[in-house]
Amino acid sequence: MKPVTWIHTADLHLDQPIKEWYGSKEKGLERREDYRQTFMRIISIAKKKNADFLFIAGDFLEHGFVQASTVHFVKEQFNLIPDIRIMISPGNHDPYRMDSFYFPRESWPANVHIFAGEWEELYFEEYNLTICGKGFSDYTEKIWKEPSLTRPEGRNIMLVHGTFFFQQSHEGRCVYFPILEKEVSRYPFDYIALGHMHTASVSTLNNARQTRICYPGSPEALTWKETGARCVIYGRLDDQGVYLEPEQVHTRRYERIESVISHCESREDILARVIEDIDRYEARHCFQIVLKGRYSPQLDLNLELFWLNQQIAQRGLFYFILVNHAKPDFDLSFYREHAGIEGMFVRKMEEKMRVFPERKTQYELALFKGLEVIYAQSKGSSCK
Amino acid sequence: MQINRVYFRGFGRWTDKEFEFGEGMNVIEAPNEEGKSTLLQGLFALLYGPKKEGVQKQVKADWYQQYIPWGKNEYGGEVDYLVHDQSYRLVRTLFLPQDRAQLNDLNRGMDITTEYPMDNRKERLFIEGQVGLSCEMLKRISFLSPGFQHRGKGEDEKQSQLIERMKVALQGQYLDIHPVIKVLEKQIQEIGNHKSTKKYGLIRARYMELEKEVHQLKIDYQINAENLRKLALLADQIDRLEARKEKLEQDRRCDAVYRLRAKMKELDQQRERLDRVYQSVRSLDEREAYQKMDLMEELIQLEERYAERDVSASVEKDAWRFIEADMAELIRLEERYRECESHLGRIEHQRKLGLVAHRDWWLRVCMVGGILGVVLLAVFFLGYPAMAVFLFVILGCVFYFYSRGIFLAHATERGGLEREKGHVEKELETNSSIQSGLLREWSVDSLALLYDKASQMRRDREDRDMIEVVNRDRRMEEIHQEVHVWLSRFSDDVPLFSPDVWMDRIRYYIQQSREYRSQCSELGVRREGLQRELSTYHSGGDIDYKRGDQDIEKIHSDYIDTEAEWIEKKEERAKLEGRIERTAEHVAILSEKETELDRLKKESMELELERTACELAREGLLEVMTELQQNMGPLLTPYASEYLQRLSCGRYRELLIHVNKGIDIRVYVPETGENTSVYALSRGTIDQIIFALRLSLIRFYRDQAGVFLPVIMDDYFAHFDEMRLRSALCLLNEFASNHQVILSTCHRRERQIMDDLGIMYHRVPI
Repeated sequence: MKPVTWIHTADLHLDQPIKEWYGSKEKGLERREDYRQTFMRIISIAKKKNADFLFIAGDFLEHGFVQASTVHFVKEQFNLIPDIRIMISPGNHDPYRMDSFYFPRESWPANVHIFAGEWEELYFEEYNLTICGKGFSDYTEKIWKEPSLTRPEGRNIMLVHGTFFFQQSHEGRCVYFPILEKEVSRYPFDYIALGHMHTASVSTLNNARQTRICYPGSPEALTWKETGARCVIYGRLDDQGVYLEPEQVHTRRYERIESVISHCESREDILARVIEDIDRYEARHCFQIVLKGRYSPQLDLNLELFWLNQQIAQRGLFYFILVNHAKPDFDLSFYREHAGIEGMFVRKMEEKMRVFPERKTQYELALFKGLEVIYAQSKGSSCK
Repeated sequence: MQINRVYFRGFGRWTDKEFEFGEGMNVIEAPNEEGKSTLLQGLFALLYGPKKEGVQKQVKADWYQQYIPWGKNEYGGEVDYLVHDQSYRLVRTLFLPQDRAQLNDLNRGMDITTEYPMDNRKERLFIEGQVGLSCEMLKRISFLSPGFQHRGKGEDEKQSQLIERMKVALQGQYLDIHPVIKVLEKQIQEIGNHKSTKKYGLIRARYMELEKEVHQLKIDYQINAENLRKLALLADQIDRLEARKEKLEQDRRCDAVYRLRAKMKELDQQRERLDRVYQSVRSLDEREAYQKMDLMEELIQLEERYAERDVSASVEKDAWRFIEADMAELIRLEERYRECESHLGRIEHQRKLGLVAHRDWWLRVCMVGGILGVVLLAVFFLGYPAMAVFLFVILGCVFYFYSRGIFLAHATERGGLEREKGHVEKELETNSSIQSGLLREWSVDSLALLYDKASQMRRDREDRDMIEVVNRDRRMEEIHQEVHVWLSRFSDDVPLFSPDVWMDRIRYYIQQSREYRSQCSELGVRREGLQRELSTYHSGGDIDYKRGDQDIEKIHSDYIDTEAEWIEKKEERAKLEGRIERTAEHVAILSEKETELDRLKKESMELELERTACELAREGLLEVMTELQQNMGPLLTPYASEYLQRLSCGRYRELLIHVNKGIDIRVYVPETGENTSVYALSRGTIDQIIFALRLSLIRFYRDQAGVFLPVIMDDYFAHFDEMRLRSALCLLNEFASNHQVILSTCHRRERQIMDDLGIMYHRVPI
């Protein structure tokens, strides 16, 4: 039987507002263009690999934000690969609704099939392949729906957007089409192409088909949690089984750099540490530089952040944000035992943290803020 | 706690130097810059180590660099002390980061270093564990120094000095947190609230503005999405209408094609008819026909030219023709000559016989006329006498005039004959000379010879003509044959040869051919038009052009309606597309604005968090302050009041400490009966109050923790006058019964007063 090949992607979120963007408008527009570039790269990979199918498992066109021009661009790209069958399963961010760009389906190129809210089966005789797909028809979908397979003996692929669980306990809280392991294990699927989770993962179900279940992750990073290389999955199904291979497609990477500044005595020391850390990466990527550790209370880091930003900007990075998660180097255990006002203050704030755990962040910040000011004042006094 | 011995291997100026202290009062007396302060700083350094307190990492203490011995490798020493009746020796190397500390229990003679835990700085907490106080806290409570220098005498300066000294005095427990709160409040103010024009307010305002803008953009986006949906539906409707139109168009096309084909068929039939009618001339080549006409023309011209040749050739060109002419002229002249001679004879004869002939004729006329006239007169006279008379008159007149004319003509004729004779004779003469001339011209002597010559020439001519005729005839025959053959192509019935007839026939054929071609061309043009029209229908694709039983009128009507609806929908779509395009341009910034909104939201949240943190810190500090006021204040003030009463010799009996508005210290003034702020008191009184407060702190700690802290003073009494100093030393002496007192001074007066007062003390040599 002829082998079947595919490219599997999801969660591109075209035209989604860029999150945590503090850069210039121009850079923002450039970043938006990156997502298009990535999509073009996916198309070219599908073409280069001569894939039979392109699976897009939802969250492809950001509902409520995607522009007509982007949709036009996407259709043009699809027209470039007329021989590749494109299967789209709309997700919670791009549900198949009357007000979505997926509607009507006829407006899309002939090689594109968009799955609507109910399970659909498409059979391809040349591969003896059934593609069973389903899309979101609204922003949430709390209940698992069973697919129906009319040709269980043949090759079967499921394409859907949802949340896969190995354990049943989490299912009830999920509003994004919970897919339970025990449910899907019963079906003779060879491959389950999922979307929703932005982190790539591949699992194998313990069933007769040894079903491979895969999240390709977002092909272009959307948040600072999506660091590193971003990929699509190239898949092949033949008599030997399922073969999967990731293909890098990102235009730019998001990199989170944690610079530990504990032993830095001055802002220059901190800058040197940060530069040492960022120089390990290409400047064309986007960076979240997180200052971590303990800094000397003598250093007013909040003031120095402006200077640090200026200095780092001179390194020619495409985009970076500097986040200060470092804390002033106060020995709380020391102050906790302190008989003075600092000790009383530390004990009081820690007591508040225990009483109001929901406000722990605020009280913790308040604790350090208070100690910093006390320290500055007592230092000022002692200097005199 | 009691310090017994301090040994410096190296600390500042002290190298390999030991100091011993006793219980009770200890006096270190030495001039300035002799190392008193270094000794006291070294004591704390050996007790607590070289690392900064209050931080988690190893940071050098502020004094560390200042006291590194110059050029020495030793930095550290030993301190022997007593806590809770236990003697300890603490040995330290202060060089960082190789600093080391060892604590020995002198009573048991063992190293007990590991019994004390390390903190994050890798510093073992010996004194903290034994006394419960950090270095900073111990200094705040036990260590008294001037702390500042007098800078002026102004009231403001005095007040600020006072505040500073109060802080120094109360740092042990009553750190003045009012400035801390002020700093926090300032930070809160700088952040501002949502209504302010400060950082937070500006961000919130921008956020609110942007939120509205984004909200509107989202509405516009939804409208656009709705329009797009409508557009999609419209496109679907248009597609369906186009399909229907196409179907109707196809029907119409079928009909049109049918009609066109019928017309073409009709044209083809006409063409066939035409071909049949003009079958004979269909293959006629007009150029060929004209060639044939040219041949016929040639033939006619051959004939005509031959005829013309007979006349003109002899006269004009050919000598034969001249000789023939000349010969003919000579003959004519000869004849004329003879005629003239004859005529001359006749003239002569007439001249002789002319009159007789005339008279005879006249007599016969007159006789006949007379007889006839008589008869007629008689007839008419009998019947019509008048008529007879009339006739008689007429006849008479005629007779008269005629006879008169006869006689006149006779005379004239006789003259004429004479003139004619002259003419003839002249002509004869001319004739004779011409003949002679002609004969001379031809070089012959006679007409007979000329004739012979002419005959010879004629024979030659005839021979040539014969050849020409043969050629002409051959050519004419050829033309005849060719034209005949050509004509026979168009008709079996070729008329007998006649150039005109044949020419007419050729012309007829040409005309027929032209008519045929003209009509064919017309049919061809019409057919071509139909073909073109048909091809436009064929370009629409493969269609089954069978004429159905459809009502073409209804189809047409449906088509018109469908097309109208289609145009209407297309216009609607164009308008909608225009609206969508305009709105799309407008909403294209939605994503960008949402990003900005998200950023502002985060910035706003960060500022909120920071402000909240400041507020919580302020609240916490205020709560601490309140607790201090409620708990510590009441406990501390009795001791302070007691000591102040003793220091002021009973003048000030009550000291009130308020910590809710900073540190506000008030005393009860007996003269006024009011609680007066210490700011209003003299500097001397303030010094006493500060001293009282410090002692009360030590007393308080002793009561609360059971630790007898030493009182360590570094030139503290430098600005005390003698009376205050006496009071202070008396009080210290009492204190020394329970606490070790280490008094460092650059003056002798403290020792002298103590000697005067009989206060026992241990002098520490330096």
